[in-house]
Amino acid sequence: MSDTSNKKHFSRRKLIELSGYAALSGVGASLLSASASGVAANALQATPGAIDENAKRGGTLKMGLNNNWTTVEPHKTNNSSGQAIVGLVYGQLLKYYKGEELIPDLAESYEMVDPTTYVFHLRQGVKFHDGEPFTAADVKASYDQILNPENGVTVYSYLTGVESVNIVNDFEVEFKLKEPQATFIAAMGLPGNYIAQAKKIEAGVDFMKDVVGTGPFKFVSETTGVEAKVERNDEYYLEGLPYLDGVEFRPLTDDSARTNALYSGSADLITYVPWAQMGAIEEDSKYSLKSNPEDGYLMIDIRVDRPPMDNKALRQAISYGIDREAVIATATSGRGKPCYGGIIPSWMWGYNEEISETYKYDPEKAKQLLQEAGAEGLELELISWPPDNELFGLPSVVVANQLNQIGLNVELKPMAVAPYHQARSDGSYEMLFDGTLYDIPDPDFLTKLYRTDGTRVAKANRYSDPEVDQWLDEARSLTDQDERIALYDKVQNKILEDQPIIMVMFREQGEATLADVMGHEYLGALGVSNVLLEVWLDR
Amino acid sequence: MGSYILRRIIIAIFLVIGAATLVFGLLRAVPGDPALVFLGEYAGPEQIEAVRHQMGLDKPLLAQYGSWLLGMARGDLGNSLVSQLPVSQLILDTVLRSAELVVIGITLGLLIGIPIGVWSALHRAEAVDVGMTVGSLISLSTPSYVSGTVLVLLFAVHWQWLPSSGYVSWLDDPVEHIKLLILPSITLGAHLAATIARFTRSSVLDVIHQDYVRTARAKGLHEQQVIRRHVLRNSLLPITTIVGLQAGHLIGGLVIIETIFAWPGLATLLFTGINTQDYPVVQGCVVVICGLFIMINLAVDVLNGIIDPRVSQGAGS
Repeated sequence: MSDTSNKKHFSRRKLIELSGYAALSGVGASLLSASASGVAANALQATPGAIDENAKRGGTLKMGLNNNWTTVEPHKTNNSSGQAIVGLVYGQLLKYYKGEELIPDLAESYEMVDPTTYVFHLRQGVKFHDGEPFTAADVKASYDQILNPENGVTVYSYLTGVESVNIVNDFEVEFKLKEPQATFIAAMGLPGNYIAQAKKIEAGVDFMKDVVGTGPFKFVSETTGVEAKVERNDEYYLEGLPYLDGVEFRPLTDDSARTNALYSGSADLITYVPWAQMGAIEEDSKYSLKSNPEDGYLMIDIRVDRPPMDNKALRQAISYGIDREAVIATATSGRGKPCYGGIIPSWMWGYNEEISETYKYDPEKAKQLLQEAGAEGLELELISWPPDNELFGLPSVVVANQLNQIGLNVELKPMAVAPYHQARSDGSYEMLFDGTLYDIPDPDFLTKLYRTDGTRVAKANRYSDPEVDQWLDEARSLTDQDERIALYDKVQNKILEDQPIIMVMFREQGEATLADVMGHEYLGALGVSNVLLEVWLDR
Repeated sequence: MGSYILRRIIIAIFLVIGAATLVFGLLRAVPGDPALVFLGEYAGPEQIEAVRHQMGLDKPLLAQYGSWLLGMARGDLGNSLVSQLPVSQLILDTVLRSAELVVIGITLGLLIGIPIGVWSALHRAEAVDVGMTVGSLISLSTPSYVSGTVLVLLFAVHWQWLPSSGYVSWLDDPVEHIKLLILPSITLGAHLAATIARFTRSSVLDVIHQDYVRTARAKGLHEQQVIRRHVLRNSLLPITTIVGLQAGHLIGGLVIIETIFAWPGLATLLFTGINTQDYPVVQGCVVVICGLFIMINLAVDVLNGIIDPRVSQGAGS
């Protein structure tokens, strides 16, 4: 992963720069169109289309998923397992692919007519699995569903800035935004932007049974909680793809059950490999591990508006008092990376190496800051998950212990899922052990963490800084990447000083396959199963 | 006998309603919001509000309770907040899978437990008896998440004779179905077998010293006939009661076994429902489990009446 990060950095940057150029030149739509299509064509080169002559065709891939899908309705699916299935059956205008590249799918290209108007040029000649042609009406009808908050689709939160979706002609769709939004295109590629048939949406068919898309695989059957099957779409618009005859999905929610399924050969591919098993899988030539050591992060949310945590020196003391390397060595089986400073990961544009070592472990400084804050021996509560939980539970035990060593008196309070969610959402905590994945490859993810109304943390932990708000808003409205980076640098420096959220570490996440599963790559939150388009079995 | 069963059924209905009310209250007393769990991490207030409305969580509590009770009276357990499927359908799908596991587990437990118990009672204080006591103690004190995992590691991962986990329907692939059934039902049955063996042993030992057994022997009956006709029948009574009580235990233990073996049964449905605060699913599962538990115990009582007529006569009078 790390060895390809430069390449990714470059191509993402190029994409944004080119669209930025289009905006700046802002005269004729034809010119914009040309450069925008150029972007799309450029991205396409790195993606499917070229058939691998060595690839063996056929076979069914068995995929063990780490959570249970609850539905296969395209516009109600909101967890990764549902997206793994639905993402193979339905197409999107754009989608993410290998190397976290954004590639055209049902849209061949797009153009930014002005900063609040985007026009997508649709691929012609694409057919739904029932033989019906794909047109702009399907896009319009699908986005009416995606943009309905009652459906609870995760991508909705990135598309609230869309004012209207308008059909220009059969193969052109216009998206009108309320205000310029630099993340719009990046959001359009996320899982959840599925295109279903307009006439089925209008007829109100049962999308649990009538599962018809344009994707590389056709839906066969599904029993919720048991099994789902898809088979090769011979009419897929990319000739010769996919290589697989089909994919079978099975929920294997228990970590040991899932890894054992891989070890026993009952599964060819498993999602979410537990940290404790990554080493063993990596060392064994029978399996292959694909992971991103900076796929997400673990952090401590702090309620900053009331004593005692409203004291900045106390928060900084805590940050200096965490021995992040020891957390990784003892709690995460050595997986992941310490996060001493900026939260933008090294693989994403906007990464700033200069601030990557701000909070190196310094117990003396921590104690000194505690003294300044008058907080020695202070009793604090850290809400987390039970200690047997690998993701938050165990790391929080180590962190609490470390904080007690610098002279605090931290009590761990493990909680069940639902009360934990409630506490996290309404901010009823002093400190709360938390973490998530980078769900969009754009530094704008900072907005949800740090902007005053930030739905992920700031709204709950009451962090509010007018300057941070202003920088984040400005960065979101600009298309020039260098200008945006300068603003995100300012944001990162300010939050490093304020420490409203204490970053503990970058979190590794990945998938494992049997060694004869070829062409697999880990895409994570950007589209769990997208890469199955070119996966083949060497057996 | 008839009026006795009727009375028990009427009591059972009130018990189920009581349990359901308790669960309804408890679920809502626990902090947490199903809409938040459903939407995950990034949802904004507008989306949360819309989903809460869609789930009917913005209605007053009493109205929610009333409409749920009314629905239940009509046999409608409501719809899942998460998948929006009817709860009765979800339960029907899963309860049969769990029942299959429980029935086979209990059968295994009886088939292994009773002969071992009888055998070791008849050879009291001999090596066989000591071996069975130690063996059953080990089996009893090994939690199923250990024994189940060890079985998977040996038979699925190491020797690769059996699949590690999962579920395939009878209709799709009967052979695979049986293969998948073996490890979980052994895990379930082994625990039960140990309990049954221990109870059988002490029950047989009680009976074997009774006067009527001595009389039977004195009549010159063959030892095997003595055991089968007089000892076994009389010592089975406490065992049926134990199986009835253990069935409740088994339903609890299923949560672990279904998780280890990815068996999509009722316990998994309940467990997932609790984690996602899917109120109607949890309520429906509790009502069904409660009903099943009461019915099994009723069946055991009736069965005891058949094995030993004194039981029902005493209860009926």
